[in-house]
Formats: sequence, C-alpha cells, structure tokens
Amino acid sequence: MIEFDNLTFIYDNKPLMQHFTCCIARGEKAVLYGPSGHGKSTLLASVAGFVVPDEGSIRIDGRTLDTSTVQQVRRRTAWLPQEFTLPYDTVKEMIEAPFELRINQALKPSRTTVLEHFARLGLETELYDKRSIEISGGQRQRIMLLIAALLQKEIVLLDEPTSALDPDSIARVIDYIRTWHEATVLMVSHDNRLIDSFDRKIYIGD
Amino acid sequence: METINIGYGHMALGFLLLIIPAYFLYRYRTGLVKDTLWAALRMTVQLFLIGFYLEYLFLWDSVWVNLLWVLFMVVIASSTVLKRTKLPQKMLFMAVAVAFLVSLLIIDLYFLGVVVRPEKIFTARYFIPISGMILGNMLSANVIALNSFYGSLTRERQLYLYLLGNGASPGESIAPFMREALIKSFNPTIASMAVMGLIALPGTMTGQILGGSSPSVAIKYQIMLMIAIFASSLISVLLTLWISRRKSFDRYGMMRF
Repeated sequence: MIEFDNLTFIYDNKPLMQHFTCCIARGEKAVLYGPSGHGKSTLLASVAGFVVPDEGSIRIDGRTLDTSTVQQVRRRTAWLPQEFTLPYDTVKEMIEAPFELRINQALKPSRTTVLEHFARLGLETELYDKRSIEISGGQRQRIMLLIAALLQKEIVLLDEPTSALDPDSIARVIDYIRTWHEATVLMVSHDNRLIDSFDRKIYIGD
Repeated sequence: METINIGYGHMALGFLLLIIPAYFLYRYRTGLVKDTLWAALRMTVQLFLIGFYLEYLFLWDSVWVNLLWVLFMVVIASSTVLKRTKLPQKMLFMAVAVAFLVSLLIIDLYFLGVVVRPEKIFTARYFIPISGMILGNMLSANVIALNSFYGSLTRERQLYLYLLGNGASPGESIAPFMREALIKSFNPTIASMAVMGLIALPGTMTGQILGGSSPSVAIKYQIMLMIAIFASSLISVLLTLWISRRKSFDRYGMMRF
C-alpha cells in the first residue's frame, strides 16, 4: 500500500537517508526505529507530503505522491507530530477540533464513544471536562492518540506518540493500537517495549 | 469663516515642544533622540512637498494624473508594508499592491460615487485625500495582519501541519491563522471606533472644522470615512492574505520562507 522507492533525503547538503526502499502492506503496523538524526521523522513526514524526497518516489496504492495527489492522500491520513498538543482551552474542545474539518465532520464522536476510548487508555472520565492546562503530558499524549483513532483514517502516521508515558500506559497503548485492524500504521519510536510489540520493525540507521 | 494661518516663525515656536520629549528620551538613554529628530524633519519636508504637489494636482485636476498619483501612493504603501513586516519584498510585492489597488478602487468608487457624489468621481479634491486616508489605514492594518499571519504560521507550524495531515483543505488549514490575524488587526480599529467622539476627536473632523466646515458636516464625513476605512482595511487584509498565500506556499502547502 505504501511503497518507498529508492528514497534519498538531503539535509544541509549532506545525505540524511540514501536509497531507501521498503513496502508496507495495507493494514500493517510498522515501526521505524534506530538512532536519532537518521531520518525516521523525515520519512514519516514524507508520507503526508510535508517533506519531498530529493530522489526516488513514494507510491500510495500504486499512485505516486506528488502535487496532484497530495491532497487526496492527506484526506486519508491521521497525522500526529512529536510532542504536539492541540492549543485549545478544554479537553473537550481539543477532541472536537479535528472533527470540525469538513472531511471529518460525519465522524464526530459522541461523548459516550470518547469515554469508552478514555477507559481503554486508562484515562479518567473527569478529564473530559477539564481545562487542558490541568492535564499531564502523558494524559495529553493519550488524548492525542485517541483522536487519531477516532478519525478512522486508512493511514495513521505517529511520531513518538508514547515519549511521555509510563510502562503501564505504554502497555495499554500497545493493546489499543492492535485493535485498529483496518488502519495501516507507520510509527516512529525509541521505546523498546513498543518496538518489540510491532510485527514489522524497520531499522533506520547506518 | 477663515482659518487662521500659522506663520513660519510661529511654526518654529511650535517645534520647541519637541524639546520636552527629546530631553526625556535622552535622559533615559533610549537612543531614540536622533530617530525622533530625523522623523520630525522628514515629516516636515515630506508634508511641505506634498502640499506643493497637491496645489498643482488640484489646479490641473486631470483624471489620469490623479489616478497616476494614487497608483504611486499604492506602490509606496505596498513597499512600506513589506519593509515593516520583513517579508520577502520581491515575492510578495505584487500581491500586496494588487490587494491595495483593488480594495482602494472598490471603496473609492462606492464612497465617492454613492455617498459623497461630487460632480466628477476622480476629482482631485476628494479622490486624493480620501484615497490617502484610506491607504494610510490599510497600511497599518496590513502590517499587523501580515506579521500575525506569517509569524503564527512559523511559530505554530506543528498546528498547521497537524490540520493538513488530518484532512484539512488548504483553506481550512490556514483558517486559525487568518482568524488570529483579523482579530489582531481589527481589534484596535473597533475599539477606537467605539469611543470616537467620547475620548478622541478624530483628525478628519478636526481638520474640517479648522478649515471652516460646520461641525455637523464634519461629523458626517468622519462617520462615513470611518466606515470606508474599516471596510477597505478588511477587504485589503483579506485580499493580501489570499493573494500572498499563492506566492508564499508551494504546491505541497509548505511555506517557501
């Protein structure tokens, strides 16, 4: 489904990644791991068209990602950048914001659905009505992850979604992601437990 | 009623007022004394020159010369906006100039053609000062809006990418930044409009009264001008942001600078 064909990324006149080729099947859950500074996040961002490879191409369902297809691809992706939180006053507003976008409006979840996801991720019900400054980094990260799940996209791109989580919460996140049967997941992580839990591990390094 | 003329000697006495701010700016070592004196000198020379030009423009009163003069003002205003925002001049000049010209012409035609209705719409006495006043206000609104829009897009790049990466259309992905730019740019104008006449007597009205107009006529001009200024500033800000967006983003939606 996602094909990286002979990709090269150059950063500051130095090659960040060279001749990378790989294919990720539909519904597969793949993790990109390896030392920092070798292009994991760049590779992830390239699937959403945020970084354009200096050489090679990316194909999604056989169609090359370029200026004519990037918008269609982004309609099918859920993207969660590293350590990112939506800048809204309350948790409720944070969760609702991505569903204000035209493409996601029909999927707007009910409070009950959101709270079911809260429970699966070990988040207390009261959090839903709290102000966003009152919640911890770990809670915030799980909320951003559940938004990605609720968007029900075909391709889910996650950049270190568990960096602020304790081992128990990471275990819950692993179980949570395993239930996204339909979605193709591509994730960057440095967390060994998370990396081990993925069937497909892609090492990015020397 | 004749307006009292100010003699050059009395103007010189007026300049003495600058001694007070200059002294305190010097005493608190702000480094602004030289800038203040230079700005006062520039203002004086520029206004004398403009006064001289305007006398001739009013005398000739040719539609083409008037239009050319306004076009010149638009060019200066556009380049000033970009200098003040430190955005790339070459890339965005046309965007700002087109936005200014279009919004100025729309409002001028409506304001002069429908509200004031002089014998000739492009007559120098009305067309040039009103265009100047509208452009001056557009300039400050656009500086604030462009600074806010591109500044917040740079600061909150992650939010922009988050929206794009979760299915937002190009318009939806910049909407929060447009909203912030509009709020920052128009809040001061709305606040000053709300207290006008209570805590401040605006320049146009004061000028007209000093020039011999009756206060009731001056007030009507002031009200209509405030509305025209507000509408033209908003149209120009929207056009500037819309048009500049086409230049400043590549076809993947990434900012070029």
